[in-house]
Amino acid sequence: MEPIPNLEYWQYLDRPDVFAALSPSFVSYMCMCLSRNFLRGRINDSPHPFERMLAVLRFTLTKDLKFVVCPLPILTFLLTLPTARQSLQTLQLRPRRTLPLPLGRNARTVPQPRVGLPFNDTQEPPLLRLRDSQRAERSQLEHKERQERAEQFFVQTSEEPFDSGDVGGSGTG
Amino acid sequence: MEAEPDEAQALRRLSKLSLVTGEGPTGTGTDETARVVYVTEQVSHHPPVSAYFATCPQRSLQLFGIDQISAKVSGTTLRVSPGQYNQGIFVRVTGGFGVGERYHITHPIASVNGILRGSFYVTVGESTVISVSGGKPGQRFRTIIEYKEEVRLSVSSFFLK
Repeated sequence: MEPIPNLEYWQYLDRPDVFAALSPSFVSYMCMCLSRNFLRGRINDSPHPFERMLAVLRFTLTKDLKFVVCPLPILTFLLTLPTARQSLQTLQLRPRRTLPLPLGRNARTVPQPRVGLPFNDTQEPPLLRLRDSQRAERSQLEHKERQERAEQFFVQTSEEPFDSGDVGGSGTG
Repeated sequence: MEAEPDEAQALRRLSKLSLVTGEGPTGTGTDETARVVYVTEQVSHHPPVSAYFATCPQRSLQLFGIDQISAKVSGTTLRVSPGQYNQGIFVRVTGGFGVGERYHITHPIASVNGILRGSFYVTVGESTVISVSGGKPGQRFRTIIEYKEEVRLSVSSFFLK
């Protein structure tokens, strides 16, 4: 997003979509998606502040993405992990070691790492995808479309990959 | 379809951020658009300080803060830390479930390395703390992100904890 202040080479809204998704309606969306019978009828109640904190955390991670020179799977993991469903499962149902990685069984529901500009893809917020079979199919289709669109986007912007003006961003970490 | 000027196209793309919302048990998601406005301006010449403000009224969100950095040379690295006016990023929720909440995100400390070798790279160190104030009484959360660096066999690897 523009503008970039004249004193710095960056600003903090690289992902305005993730910022906007901090909102209550996103939280209510998460609640809606949580489960068939869990929290389904309680959308208008105040959801757990933990989820809001997770959303803020997600946004916080996006502001530093421009400095990251690391394997994209890790980025994708960071962006897709802090969703309510997974975290609740982690907290309540699963031992820590079986944390759902974006590999194996969950791979098709988690957006695949894209080569290109993860933070510049303002069209697609990394919102959560569910693992219900019905939705999985749907999101798989969506994902296909996304990939096509992402490729299109990539072609247009691939000229200078990680150069968002950060100091030494083109160095190796 | 008529050809559009690039700028108009870009504007249209920027102002239409697709936000997926869920609807009902069948999950017939609809695309909703939200507009996010961002303003930033230099507010002091000496010391150099700039302020920024972003808002998304549709989603009852505001983001604001003061930006100032102070750079110090320590050894072979350049340490970039927030200046005295830079208290971090504030996110205010003005409506909805989290009405009245204010999230305070502190800045980590960055180092510019490789000055001697001429190949610059930035590392982010120390920690970021996200704390919340205001809002409804009850349970409060605080997030601490630690930026770890480990050197093994002269290969550095970086972690978030």
